Amino acid sequence: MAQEFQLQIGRELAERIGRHGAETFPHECCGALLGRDSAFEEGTAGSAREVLELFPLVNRRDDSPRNRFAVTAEDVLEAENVARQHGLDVVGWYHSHPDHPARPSQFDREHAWPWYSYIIVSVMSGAPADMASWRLNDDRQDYSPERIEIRDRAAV
Amino acid sequence: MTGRTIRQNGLKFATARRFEFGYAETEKNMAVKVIIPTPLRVYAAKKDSAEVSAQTVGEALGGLTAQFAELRKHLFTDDGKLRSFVNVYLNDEDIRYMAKEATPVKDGDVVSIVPSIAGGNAAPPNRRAQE
Repeated sequence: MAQEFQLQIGRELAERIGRHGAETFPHECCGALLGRDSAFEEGTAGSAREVLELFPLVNRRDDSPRNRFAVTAEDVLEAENVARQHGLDVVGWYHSHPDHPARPSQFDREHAWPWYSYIIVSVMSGAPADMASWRLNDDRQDYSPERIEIRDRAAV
Repeated sequence: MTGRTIRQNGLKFATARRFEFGYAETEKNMAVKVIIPTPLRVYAAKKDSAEVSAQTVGEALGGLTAQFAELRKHLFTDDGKLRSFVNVYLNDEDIRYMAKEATPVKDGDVVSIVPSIAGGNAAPPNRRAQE
């Protein structure tokens, strides 16, 4: 069953993800997306999702940081604590693909969790380029693209 | 079935004793809380935790997937092993540093399932492999 996913994010946050990827280039950057998903709120239908804060993390993959990233369970718990302090949830994760397109790799899919939004920013020759988001399907076999709606704060 | 039945089948006494202990312990299952991580709550009626009855961490996870069958494929591989990016804590201790899934549980223990996150781009081109 094809499902339409959409992720809202403020322009400033989207640009920060790109800058993080540029700073760590040629290594991959990673971080948590903190926000809200209406699926967990009482009396709402559907699953509107919005990113409201970022929690940048250190890539724990010392051995191949140019094409891999890792976030430990301790980092995940810390990100969840920070989210709770803001009254938010961890709704997903972002990472960069240095000199590669913003498409999930097979490695990305094999290691993905369902439900989370996975934002990938392509960083070409050190400059942020395309950004895309996707979610793992329930069957774990494939993924669905998620449309990113970039919002200017003033318009909210 | 009792230990005597097993002895009648020709098994060693030690095996029968172990079976008897196992049988006795099933009378004393512990009430354990399992914390379900955010990405899996959609497969668990949106609950953030579940109460299960178990003697070990492995049984607690089994109890959880018995309640919510859809969780199974996200926690375990096809051959029944915990997925590598699924971390399980008993209270604050990583079970990898204890007896793993055989770690015994007590009444009131909390078993937490915590994700770790990994990914990366496609296989590196040759110039990277040489670095």
